Amino acid sequence: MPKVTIDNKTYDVAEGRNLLEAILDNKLELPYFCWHPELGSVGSCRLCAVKQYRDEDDKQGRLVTSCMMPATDGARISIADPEAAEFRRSVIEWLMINHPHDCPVCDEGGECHLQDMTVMTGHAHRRYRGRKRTFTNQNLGPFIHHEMNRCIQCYRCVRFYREYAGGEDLGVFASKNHVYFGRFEEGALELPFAGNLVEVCPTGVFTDKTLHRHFTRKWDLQSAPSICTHCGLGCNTLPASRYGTLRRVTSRYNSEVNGYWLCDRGRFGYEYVNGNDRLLAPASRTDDGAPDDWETSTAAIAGILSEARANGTLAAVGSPRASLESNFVLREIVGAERFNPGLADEERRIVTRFLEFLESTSVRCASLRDANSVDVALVLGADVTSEAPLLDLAMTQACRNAGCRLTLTSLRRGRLSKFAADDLHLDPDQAARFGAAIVATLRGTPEPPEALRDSLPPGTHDRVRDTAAALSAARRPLVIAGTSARHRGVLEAAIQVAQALVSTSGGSKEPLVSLALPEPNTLGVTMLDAGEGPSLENLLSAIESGKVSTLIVCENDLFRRSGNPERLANALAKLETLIVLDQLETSTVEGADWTLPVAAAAESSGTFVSSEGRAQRYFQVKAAAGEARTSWRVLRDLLVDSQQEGSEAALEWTATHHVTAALAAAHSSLRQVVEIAPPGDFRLLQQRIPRLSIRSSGRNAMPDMTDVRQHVQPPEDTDTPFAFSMEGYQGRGPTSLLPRYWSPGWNSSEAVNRFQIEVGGPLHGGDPGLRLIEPGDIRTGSDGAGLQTVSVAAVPTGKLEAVLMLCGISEVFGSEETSRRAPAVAESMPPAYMLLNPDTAVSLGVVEDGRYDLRFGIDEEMRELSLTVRIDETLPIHVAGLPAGYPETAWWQAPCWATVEITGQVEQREPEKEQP
Amino acid sequence: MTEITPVLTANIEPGREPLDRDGYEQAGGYAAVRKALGEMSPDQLLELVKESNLRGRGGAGFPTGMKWGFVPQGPDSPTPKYLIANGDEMEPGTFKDRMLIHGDPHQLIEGIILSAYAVRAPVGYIFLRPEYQRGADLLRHAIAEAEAAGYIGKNILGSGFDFELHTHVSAGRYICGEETALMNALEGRRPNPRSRPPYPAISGLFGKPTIVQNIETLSCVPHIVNNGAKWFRRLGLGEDAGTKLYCVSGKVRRPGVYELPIGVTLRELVFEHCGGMRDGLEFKAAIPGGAATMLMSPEELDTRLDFTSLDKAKNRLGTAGVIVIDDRTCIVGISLNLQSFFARESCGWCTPCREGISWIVDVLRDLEEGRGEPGDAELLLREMKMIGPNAFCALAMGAEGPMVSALEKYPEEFETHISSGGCPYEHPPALPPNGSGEQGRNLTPRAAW
Repeated sequence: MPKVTIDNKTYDVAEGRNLLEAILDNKLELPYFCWHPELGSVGSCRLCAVKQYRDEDDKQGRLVTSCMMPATDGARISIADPEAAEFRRSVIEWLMINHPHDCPVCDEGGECHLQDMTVMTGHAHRRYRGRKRTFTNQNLGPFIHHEMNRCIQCYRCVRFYREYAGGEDLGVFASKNHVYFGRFEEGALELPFAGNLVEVCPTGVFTDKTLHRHFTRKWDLQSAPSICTHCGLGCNTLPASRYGTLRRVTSRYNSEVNGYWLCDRGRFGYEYVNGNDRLLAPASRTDDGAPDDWETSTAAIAGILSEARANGTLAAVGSPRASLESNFVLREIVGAERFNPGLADEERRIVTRFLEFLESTSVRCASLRDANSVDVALVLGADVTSEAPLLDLAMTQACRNAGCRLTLTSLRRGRLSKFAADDLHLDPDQAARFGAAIVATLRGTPEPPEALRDSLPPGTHDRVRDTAAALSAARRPLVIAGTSARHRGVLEAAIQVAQALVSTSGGSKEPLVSLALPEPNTLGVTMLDAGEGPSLENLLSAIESGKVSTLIVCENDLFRRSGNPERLANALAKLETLIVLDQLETSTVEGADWTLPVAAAAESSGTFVSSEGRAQRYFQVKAAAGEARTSWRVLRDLLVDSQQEGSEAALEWTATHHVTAALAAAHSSLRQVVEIAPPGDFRLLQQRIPRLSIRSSGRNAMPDMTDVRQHVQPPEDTDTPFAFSMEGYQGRGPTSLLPRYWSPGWNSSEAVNRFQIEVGGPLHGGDPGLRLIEPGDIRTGSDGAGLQTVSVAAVPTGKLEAVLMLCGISEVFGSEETSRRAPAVAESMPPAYMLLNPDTAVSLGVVEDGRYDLRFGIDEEMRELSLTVRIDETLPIHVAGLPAGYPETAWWQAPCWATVEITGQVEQREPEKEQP
Repeated sequence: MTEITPVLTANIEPGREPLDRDGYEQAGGYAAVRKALGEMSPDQLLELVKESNLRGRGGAGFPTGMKWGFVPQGPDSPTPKYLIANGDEMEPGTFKDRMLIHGDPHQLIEGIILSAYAVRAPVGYIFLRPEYQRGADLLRHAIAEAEAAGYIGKNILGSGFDFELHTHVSAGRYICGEETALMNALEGRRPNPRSRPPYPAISGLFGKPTIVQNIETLSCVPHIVNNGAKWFRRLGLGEDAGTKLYCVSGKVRRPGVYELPIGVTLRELVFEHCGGMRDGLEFKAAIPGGAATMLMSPEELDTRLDFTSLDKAKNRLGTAGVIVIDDRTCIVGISLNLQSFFARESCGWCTPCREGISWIVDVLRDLEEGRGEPGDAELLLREMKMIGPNAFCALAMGAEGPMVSALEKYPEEFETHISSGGCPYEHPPALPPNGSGEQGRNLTPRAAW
């Protein structure tokens, strides 16, 4: 281990570090701008200059830019050297020549790396007498606010956007002291990771536009560690609130999961929590004159429940977006055999199969960090960018840095295509067959069965051979499948490829597998359910036949799951009582007899299991909207009041960790979830951890002069070790309980380097979260005999050119349930469409952007709706793409053949011509 | 006065079109290619250039042969290797490469073929500033001629050496003359300099070993092959070897390009070859090598203008673009002019250069326009010394040279600007007409080019 002497003290440094990293690793202070652990050293800002000496006798030394110099053994440097300190002060003075000093009106103020570095260097006196240069700013869309005058030209934005993330529409323009970072012309940024600019930018050039709309100073924000709910990856977040509204979400560093990053859906999807369509009070449809408060509602529902239980007509639907705790209590109310986990049936089969596989194999389920460094990757039937956005960013790194050879099979060209060695545009069925053909090749039967070969486009066989060869030669291959294709064959093929890689390499290879899941707790609720509950199909039949007449639905919109809205609506109408717990108005809520408002993730505490199998705890950030309560509490009361047998234990469940402990005891696969974070009664020096920073303006700075109390009284908090206060334990708690990254002098997100063992590495005390499923020692696995190819039902008869396979197109913005209710995300959503290959459009006689009345025929059923036609030349000719997760397409779930008829064209107003 | 038989400019006749291939061959051209590719191995050629003590004419004066020796060779070395002729001649006061490109393109091409052979580079690029469009046309025509004659292409003259040569006209920035920025520009990126190491000879254009040489340096190579290393070394008057194109601008009687033995004194160049100052003007200062070198005062007139002597004088030969400053020209004004150039041409990559130099410009403009304040000279000196050595590339160091030397050698001019509330010089200065003597061999282009 190299030793470096810094200001006459010797420090150990890890191999391969540069001097700046060596300094920061040892928690010494040295200002910097352009260096970033993920973006590397470029030496442009020159701020991190130190004096370097040749040897002990060298008293002169020379100024070096520490991020550009390797920390070699025996290196001697000085941070405190007066000349170095003077130079660093000068760098800030130069940057301040044109910086507008508009901190009082700048959104970054108080969390600004430039402010911190200015203070750190000691620059305080301004000698420049001239004018400042000014720029014209751009409208960069609904997420990012642009204020170029504040720019200090560290080039971090374009290095992240272009080099790291592979974006193309943000660049550097002009030169000299007029360098401009922006788009070629105004317009929304195209990269779905653009929000990271807010954190990457060391000053206020790129700021959060959603925060700007309900701005508050950063030091007044109240925050707690949380988990993103907008896909299954489980990215760690720090939602922050003030005065009862959620103001923003920033990334919470976790080196195993999201690192420094978040996708825009995760960062900007939070605003649904503040939405006008939140359910605020319990409501019943019955007009019995009784007040709809919690007490009467709970009593009334408990009565209904015990009666229904006695009659054997009670059932429940859980949710992949509700916590393990809520799902567990709900399952306790109705019993395992009457609890549906709330996934669409096909999705549930996929996830169950995936879990079975993980529990019986030596194949590791990839973390995002694993994905960063794989050398060969195969994506089967998934659109990684929209299904699991940050996995796309990880794959980008694998391709950029690890030279990853990527094979993509998805419906159309996507963001990752430019990195792909093979980019095949296949329908999910073909993707599954492609995977099956690879399995056959890997197992030494090079000619795939004719059935496989014939269904693939010509030339695909070469791609099979190349991909199989690359996978065989790989050191660390990764196979990715998705669930949005709703096709079991895709996952089956992915599993078989991974298994074949293990068995054909004699166990020497360590393949990774990943399944993109759409919701934060899909894996968790499936583990809880363990396949014991009824399918949605069976549940619907039971309702239709009257066997089930009372249904509780927790945080779930069944219309997103069923694929047959009419049948579902009829079934729900047939119920005697439908009880729905949710945050937002949904189609399911509309038909409910009892509506119970429950807290969103940022308003409650609980546990999610991410698609990696990582159990992670999230904590309440703010009081719940209106009268909403945490769903497990509502359900606990129902469980106790309905006098369910054995519910005495539930009387003791007064805090989340009690429920967590109960579910861990009841489910061996989930036994470790108690270990992932300290319980709610955890205290440090008898103190809670404050959700507010010590820098909070406090009560004296409240805006209203007449009433100095908090607008929202802090709720009672038994669930978390946090306090709704700036008072409490000011030291550092466990990493799972970090409500912010802050260190004296480090007020921006850069402060995270004070929390890492080595900058850019794991956190001191370990990254939060715990993987529940680690690969076993099973080195052999099945020999492929179990290979099932599941194909789409046969082509219906009809006019041949009008028969198309309907496939779901996953959208980054729009397909996910809650984020699409956030205004900024809604603005970025494409309106519902039908996507066609140009040739298909010609044969159907439709043109791009035209709006048509369409009639889809699936089997004997007909669906009519109006959609705008969009064209993508990379889409297979036999496919009609419909946006997944849109209410307009809720009548349809999995890929299927359908007749498509154009029954008319919708008149469209001529777009207004722009004034010259 | 030192007499010389022209070497690099032997085929150049002001006002006449450059020699075509036939003319060039009749004048002895391409003999060096025949000789080297026929009789010499690349290593022998490299040794010859090392022996000749040829130093890079682009400004830094790095020994050419030594640089070529850094290129990794052998079966395991990265391929292809590239040779780039740097014709981005944007140094103020410098117009020598223009002469060679427009006046004798085949000589340049021959030098490129030889140099590429020495470093085993199968691909070459001539990188030109956009103003040299006519030069690009001439070069493309000459390259086609050379290809037709088999000097460029596959298996040149049966030697087994393959070489292709391309001309690239840049979008035009001073920084493109910096070799790593040039390579970025050639790759289609922003011309920001790259950090070193790795040096271009190890990892340059497209990450491959690359040699970047100035046009004049390359033009020397055929003559070294034809006449030998000893001959080339004896051409110099001081310790350096060869002849040198000196570009003289300013209020001398006969400004222009002069090919002289390297190592003539500033006095001889200005007062003999250029005929001295115009009537009524006194020599006040000169910048020896384009904008990026230090001012020389009248006491330094006897300094030899070569790499070694100017290094000793803590100055640089640079491009040998000598800008002569007369006694009616304001040193602060000159500084403002030069610093405005550097500020404008900063690529915007690093803080000291991007922000610092434009601050220098601002202070200088204040001085010129009567807004100077006591302490401004000290401010300029302190800032410039902070900026120069600590910037990412050498551009800021180029700006530091003339600024710091002006402040140190002509402090009274800055004082006067502050005390008299502005520039005491006449604007623009009333200047006597140019002299019209035609002695000496002044190659200033007046006609076609």
